[in-house]
Amino acid sequence: MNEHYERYQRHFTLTEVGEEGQERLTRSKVLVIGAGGLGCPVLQYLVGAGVGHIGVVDGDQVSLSNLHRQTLYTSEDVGSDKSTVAGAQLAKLNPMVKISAYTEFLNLELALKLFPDFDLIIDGTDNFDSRYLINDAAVIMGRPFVSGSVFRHEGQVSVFNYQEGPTYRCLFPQQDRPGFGCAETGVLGPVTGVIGSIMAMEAIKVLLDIPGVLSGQLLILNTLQWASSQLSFSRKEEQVALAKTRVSHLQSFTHVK
Amino acid sequence: MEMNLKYFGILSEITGKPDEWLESPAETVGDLLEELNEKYPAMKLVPCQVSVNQKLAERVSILRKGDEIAILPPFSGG
Repeated sequence: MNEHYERYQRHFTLTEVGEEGQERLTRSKVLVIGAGGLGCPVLQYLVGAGVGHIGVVDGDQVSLSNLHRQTLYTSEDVGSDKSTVAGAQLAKLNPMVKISAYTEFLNLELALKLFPDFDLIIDGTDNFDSRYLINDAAVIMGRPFVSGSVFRHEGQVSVFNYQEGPTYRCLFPQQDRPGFGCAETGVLGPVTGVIGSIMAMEAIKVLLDIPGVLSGQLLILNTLQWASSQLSFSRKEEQVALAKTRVSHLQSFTHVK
Repeated sequence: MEMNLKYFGILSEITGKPDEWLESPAETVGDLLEELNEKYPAMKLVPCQVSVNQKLAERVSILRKGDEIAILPPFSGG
């Protein structure tokens, strides 16, 4: 049995993947922004699944307080660049995948340079500035993106700008609001694991055209009660247009995570 | 008019509950938010979106008896 067939054997028996789907994954290119609590499971599953080219953007270094939830790193990695360590770990997981590590925080210039080279963007960042930046660059470059976020024991997941679907601004139009990161609110490791895994599932659905993509739908999951809610929303052209005009304002951010 | 409210994220901490049935004279989503801002003053500081019966609503959206209303802030953590 050759390595390719054995590695992806569990995909071949699925009608949603099969040999044709696996070939599609191999030709796919995904850019993951943020290699933290959400980014780690997304990266692990997409590299495991054999996505052909994975980009990792993160300007942060591994710290001890990351290790309870950021499963790509070990105690020995503390102080090292996350994207470099993640890239090395992921290469061990699946050497058939091309991995590009970018050891800088996303800014507009980098986003506009990188997004055209990838089919799908993953937002695993931890602050609103980055979330609006990713939205706006994705709208400008015409790329769909999978977005996940957490607040303590709850998480939200949606897929934006997918096949002319609604964008992040169509759901959350206001800016300049206070954000709460995991550092301030605290988080249990499995919460980002669960939400990141849902994001990886959505990414695979987008790449393989599997029906049921969370486009125009926000999934909200409470991991204490396991209560899930979904709400639907539609595209608002004025918000899409706003994303395009915000570029000049966003240029003032030089250190956006 | 009685309505079923669900609070997400920090809003469930501000209100001290994940959900409640509320008897309210509010006719629109905007009216309801004003009433809630008085009842829970800290809510004013949290920009949020409102869905009615699982559909994103505007401030001018009309409310009906028994509507399920979810009030949710965006999350940013990761």
